Amino acid sequence: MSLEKVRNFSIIAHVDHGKSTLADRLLEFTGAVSRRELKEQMLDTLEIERERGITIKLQAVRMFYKAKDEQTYTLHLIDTPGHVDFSYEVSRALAACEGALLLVDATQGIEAQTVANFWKAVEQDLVIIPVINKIDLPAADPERVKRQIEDILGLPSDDVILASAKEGIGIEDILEAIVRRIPPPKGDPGKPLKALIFDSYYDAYRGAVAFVRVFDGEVKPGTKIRLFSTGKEFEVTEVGAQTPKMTRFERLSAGDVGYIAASIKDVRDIRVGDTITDARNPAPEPVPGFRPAKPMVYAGIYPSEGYTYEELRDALEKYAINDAAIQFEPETSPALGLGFRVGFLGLLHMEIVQERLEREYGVSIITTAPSVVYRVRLKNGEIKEIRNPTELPENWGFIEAIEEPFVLLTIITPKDYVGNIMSLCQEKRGIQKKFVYLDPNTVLLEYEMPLSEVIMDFHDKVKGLSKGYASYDYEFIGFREEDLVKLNVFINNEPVDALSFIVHRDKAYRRARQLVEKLKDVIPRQLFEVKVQAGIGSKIIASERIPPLRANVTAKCYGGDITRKKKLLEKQKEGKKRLKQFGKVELPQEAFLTVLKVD
Amino acid sequence: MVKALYLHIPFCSQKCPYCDFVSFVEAPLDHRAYLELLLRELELYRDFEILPESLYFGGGTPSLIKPELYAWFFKELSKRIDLSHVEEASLEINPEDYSLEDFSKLRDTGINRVSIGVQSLREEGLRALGRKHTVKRAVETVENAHRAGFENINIDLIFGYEGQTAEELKEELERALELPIKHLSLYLLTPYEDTQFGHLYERGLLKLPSEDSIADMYELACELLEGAGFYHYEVSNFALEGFQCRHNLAYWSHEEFLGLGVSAWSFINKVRFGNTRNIRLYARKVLEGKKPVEYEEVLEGKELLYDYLFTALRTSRGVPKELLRGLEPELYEFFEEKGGRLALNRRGMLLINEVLLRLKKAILL
Repeated sequence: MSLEKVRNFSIIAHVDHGKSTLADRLLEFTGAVSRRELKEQMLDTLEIERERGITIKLQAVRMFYKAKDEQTYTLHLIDTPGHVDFSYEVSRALAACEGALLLVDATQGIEAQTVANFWKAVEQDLVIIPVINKIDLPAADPERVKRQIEDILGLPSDDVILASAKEGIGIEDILEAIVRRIPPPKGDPGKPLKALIFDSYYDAYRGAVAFVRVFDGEVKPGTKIRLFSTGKEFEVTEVGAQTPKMTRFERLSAGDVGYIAASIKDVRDIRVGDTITDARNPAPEPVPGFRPAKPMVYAGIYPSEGYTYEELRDALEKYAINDAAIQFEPETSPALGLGFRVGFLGLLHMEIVQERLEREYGVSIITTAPSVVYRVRLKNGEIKEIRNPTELPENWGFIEAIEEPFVLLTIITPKDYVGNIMSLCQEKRGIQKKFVYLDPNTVLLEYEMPLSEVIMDFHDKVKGLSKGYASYDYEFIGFREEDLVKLNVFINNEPVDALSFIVHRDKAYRRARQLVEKLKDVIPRQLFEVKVQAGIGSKIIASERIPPLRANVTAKCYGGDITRKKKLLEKQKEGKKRLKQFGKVELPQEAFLTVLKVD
Repeated sequence: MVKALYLHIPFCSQKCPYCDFVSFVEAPLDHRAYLELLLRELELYRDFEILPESLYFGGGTPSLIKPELYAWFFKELSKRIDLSHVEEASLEINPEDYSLEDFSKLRDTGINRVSIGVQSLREEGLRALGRKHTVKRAVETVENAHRAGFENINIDLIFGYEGQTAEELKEELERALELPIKHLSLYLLTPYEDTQFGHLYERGLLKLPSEDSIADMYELACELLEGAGFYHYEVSNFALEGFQCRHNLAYWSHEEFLGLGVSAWSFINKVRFGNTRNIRLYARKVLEGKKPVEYEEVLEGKELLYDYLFTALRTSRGVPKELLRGLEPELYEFFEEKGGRLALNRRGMLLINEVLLRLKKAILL
């Protein structure tokens, strides 16, 4: 196959701008799938993704397009995840392409993620084809969006294609643009194998499967491959591509996009961003840019009442086969017993893991409030990474300084809400770096802000303050020293380690007060009075009491009712399974997340 | 030996929104035919030693059946079992059904205790509970029963309905105490899942008083009734001296009892067994000469102990102290000790479910 007739591209867009629908239409138009076969949003395979309407696993699909020049082209569409948690995965997917469709919603205009993804694509030297989607909607304003594209991204408005993926408008124009504007891949099939992994998943039959872009050389069943980062070697059992069904090929060679299976048992052996080469004839250099996924957010995961540590461990291990981004290690909490400290790419990633553990792996879990990674500089020159507030040394005399991760936050908002958003950012310890009008109605703001403030309740606040119109994106920029203290929470005078958190000193009092009030609301009344307190060290700064239960009675219980009433009481007990026994107090899952709900 | 006999009468003229008992507004067979089935069912238990000291006709609405029919039924019953030891024979009565004359006839059948479903002594209360009768009619019914010669009269009241205040409950109870009653059952309204109230409650369409006002009402009621000489002998039951319901006490002290009729339960030889809830199936089985039993709970060891605590702790008599050796010391504040027995105190009774859950954990784990 001549590389001249191959095009590798991605679609980049803000959440909800219609990426999956566009992907469906391209598949349909090129005949890769018939309309009947086309389940809505073909590319999103996981149940949760479909439910949430977002894409978390990227995949690559091969289709054939007979262009107006009468030539048939092989198109590889590489899907990218649409959430800030997965920005590294996005950059790796883009590295596998020569071009990208930049999709913008005609009613919403450019949003923060659009800009962030645009710059990622520019960094990879991709040809960018701007597409304005949803032009069929009554609220569509394509002219305004065209101006934005020109002013903000510097792309000529003549290049813009108007489309409605839902209505099938503009699909052929897009395909023609892909063929004409995006260059064919370069690469030399004669050189040693060099293939970039941009996604992986676990398949019950094939084992861990790597999705790759082959830059040089070729790979086929029987090839002995080696992973650059680990040196591990495997023998290839199958190569192919999704059409969109998994279809075997004889080989993948330079310029191709497809999958490699090699009886690999653990998806963690094929990390996104790593390079595969031929063990017998290795390439001298990997594709640049690999870094192992680095969790930014950690939380404790513990079994709920009625589930064991072993059951949770099995579930996590099985889950992790399919998610190379999570990290976990056992930890013990005095309050919650044996469990795990689990690292996530971000909050959405955490929610997905939580849901899938419960839904697909059948364990009921308690998750503690997520915390960012803190860096503690000790007076003896040592540097400690703190993934759990309880790891902070009790003796503050040893501590030189505590540093926390900062991000550069980009916010795009209609100008009417700028005031709201700016005060929110200020409250969240943000330092303003940029304020520009993108057009007379839209403002772009940049702030440097502690990541801990972003994971707190930033999302809900931003959406609430802007009626849902503002969008944001962020990237890690480094650790900075701040005046931080540890807030301890006590229940009936006992410290509950899983509820403690690290907070800026100026906010400690307010957070402590709000936290105990919230806890008072979410902790159900118990047989005995419960005292909830928060303090810095052991100095109490806020306190509340939860009055004891007074009524839980089976009013009527006669001969015909005893068995039934016993069962009803049993049901009540089932309802308490999500509670975690802490001393004499039963704490619900919500209690562990209240830390996130206070500002 | 079975000393308590329960007979379930599954007929109702309407389904009450809070009721989770088995009853039929339109039953596929008439009253006499149903009573005949009860007799046939009884015959299936010939192997058992049945020498009742108490009888209880519960429902449903037993008062939908005319006294004449009960007279016939008692005659038939006495042909099959020895009724000479019966000291208490209760019948549940809906205020809309019986006249003075009916009560007089009932008096001659063998029934010596009536339990009248007054439910509320405020019109607003009756409306909130979805009841059709009036306060006046309920009061008349109680008085008629008394005039006809019934000495042992119970009324049922429900508290904790939508909008009720402690002051209003107090008025109702004071009114109740003016009636010629010997026994009062006061039930907390509970919106069970499969009832109309349950559905409304789940969807937030039924607003019940807060936990604290419920508890205040309960304490007030206990205070008031005990002040009037009504002994609080079970979670929801109060009686003047000598008028505790011996039939119900059998349920709460692990005495054996036999239940006849659709959905009725029995407890014999440490087994709880229950009849089908399907009236057609019930009839077919009985006619075929088969026991219509569909559910069974065999109680052994710790389960038996828990079952005993589940029932006996409802009473002010409580349980022998030794049985609660595993009791967490902090739970003592919900108990009182008398004569080597431990019984829930007033606070404890209102929290019986919590206490039982803790006990169960302590016993069974």
